[in-house]
Amino acid sequence: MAPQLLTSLVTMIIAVQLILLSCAYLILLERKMAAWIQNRIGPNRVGFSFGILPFKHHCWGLGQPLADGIKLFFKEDYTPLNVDRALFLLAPVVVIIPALLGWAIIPWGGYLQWGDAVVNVTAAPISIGVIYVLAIGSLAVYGVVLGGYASNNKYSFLGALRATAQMVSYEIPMSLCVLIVILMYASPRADVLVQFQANGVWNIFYQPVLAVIFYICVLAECNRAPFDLAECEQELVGGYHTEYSSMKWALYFLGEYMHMITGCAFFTLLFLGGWDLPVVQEPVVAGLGWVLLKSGVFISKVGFLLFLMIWIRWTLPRFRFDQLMRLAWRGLIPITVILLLASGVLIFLRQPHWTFLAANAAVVVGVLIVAPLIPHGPTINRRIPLAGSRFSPAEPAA
Amino acid sequence: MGFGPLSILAQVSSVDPAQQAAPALFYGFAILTCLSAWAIVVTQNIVRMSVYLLLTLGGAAGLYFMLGAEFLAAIQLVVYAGGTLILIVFGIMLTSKNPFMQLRPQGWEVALAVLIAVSIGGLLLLALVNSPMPESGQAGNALVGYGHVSVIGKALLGAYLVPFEVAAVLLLVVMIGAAYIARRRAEE
Repeated sequence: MAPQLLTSLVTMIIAVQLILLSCAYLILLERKMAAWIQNRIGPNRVGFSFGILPFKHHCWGLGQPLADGIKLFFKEDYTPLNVDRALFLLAPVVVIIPALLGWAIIPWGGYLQWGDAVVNVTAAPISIGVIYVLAIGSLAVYGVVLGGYASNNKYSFLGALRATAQMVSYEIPMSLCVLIVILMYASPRADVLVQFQANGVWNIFYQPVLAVIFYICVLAECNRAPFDLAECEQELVGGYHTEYSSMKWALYFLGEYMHMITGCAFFTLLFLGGWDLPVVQEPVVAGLGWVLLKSGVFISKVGFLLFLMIWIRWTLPRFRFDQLMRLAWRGLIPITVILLLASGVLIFLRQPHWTFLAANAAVVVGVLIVAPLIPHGPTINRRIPLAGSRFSPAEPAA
Repeated sequence: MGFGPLSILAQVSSVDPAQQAAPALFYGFAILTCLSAWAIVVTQNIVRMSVYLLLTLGGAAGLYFMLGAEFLAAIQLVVYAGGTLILIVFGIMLTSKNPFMQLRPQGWEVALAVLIAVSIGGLLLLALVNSPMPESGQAGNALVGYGHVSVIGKALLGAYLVPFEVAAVLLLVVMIGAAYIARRRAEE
């Protein structure tokens, strides 16, 4: 068997197992961090005995994800009568598949010296690299759309429409960010992008504004707070998964956490130098020990970004829907287009990479100066004279 | 600003799917594409049709991957599966009055569709029969690299610059028109 194929298979198996396991513990971490931020203690009782085994230690609540999983499997799996049954079953699966496929091009550990051959420690070293992630990411919307439609429920339907509009809108600045990074390093291959950053400076120091915009888009793409309008408990009951219960509901949330990991890994390889350690000059092609170390570095960076995501979720309040759309269409998209033009001109003039930092600073200053001068359109904050709303009586006064 | 010697990257070639193509995968994608295309025709529920269309487009993208045209496959997913189809689904969901809309074509519509399908199928078959087939085992080597991003980029901005720009201007016009229509409706 060819070394690359064998490496791909091993990477694939390890990555899938590791990520699915970490999804479970990510949920525990989320609950623990929520508790710390809110001055509570959080789940700390469930060990691994489950009241049956003689082993009595509480294990600091580490058995919680297992207990949650068991609970979700044994809950009643209720399918309402008037749903489109096939699509209703299909929708949660459609959420999971793109999240799983996205991991294929993540370069976990650089290059491995395998006898005479040099292999790429990644599941699928395809030539289009990060463009593939964009292609797969654009399919993630279908789970939401189909779930909302098949539920045959107005709340689900409206929730799905909202979530779809959000995901489609934030895909645009995200793709533009990726395009700028591809332009800078003249290759879409993930391993090449990381290797360039490892030999020079991490991309986040050249394009800090771009990195922030990309992180915002990742948050919005996986429906995390402050962009978790898709759930919107106050207005739409539960959003697109109102009608889902048991393991089908859990699949939606598993999908969310898997998308978080994919997004953070994507951020790491585009902006944080992937497997690169800051000071150490690691060999480009290395033995197994170095590959494991590099994978550890990559995973730590992803872990830090996930920590940041959870922190943001429990710190910032939720956006309103019109604010969210305005942020994408009037904020992020124009800024990324300007950055794309600026980067393109700088690359055409063959300027050194630190000029991108100057361009970023100039864009920030420009936005701060220009933004107050742009006239605001009508906001949704004004009162709308709609019969039956809280601003108007139900019956027009005759 | 130099990035040091990167000659090592040249050794690490990307996987060429054309050479590792397993026939099983090809037949899997082909069967998926054909079956879901057939299902589009026979289904009457319009949202299910779009799901089958998604499977067809995805299967075709898989076939492109197998042929080594990775960029084309990715763009197929981004533009058709991710963009156009989601707009179609949006349109259907926002305009249909009853929840699970059924589509019942008239007799003449079926006849017209069959006529068009048969003529296009005949044309494709004619093209297939008349095109020269490479010897078995030789096809992969002749085609390596033709789907690479840099090749496509050079072609689009070199030999085919005018059609590329015309398409870009057309899309820009469509975008401005859509924005204009949306704005007028908001003010009324």
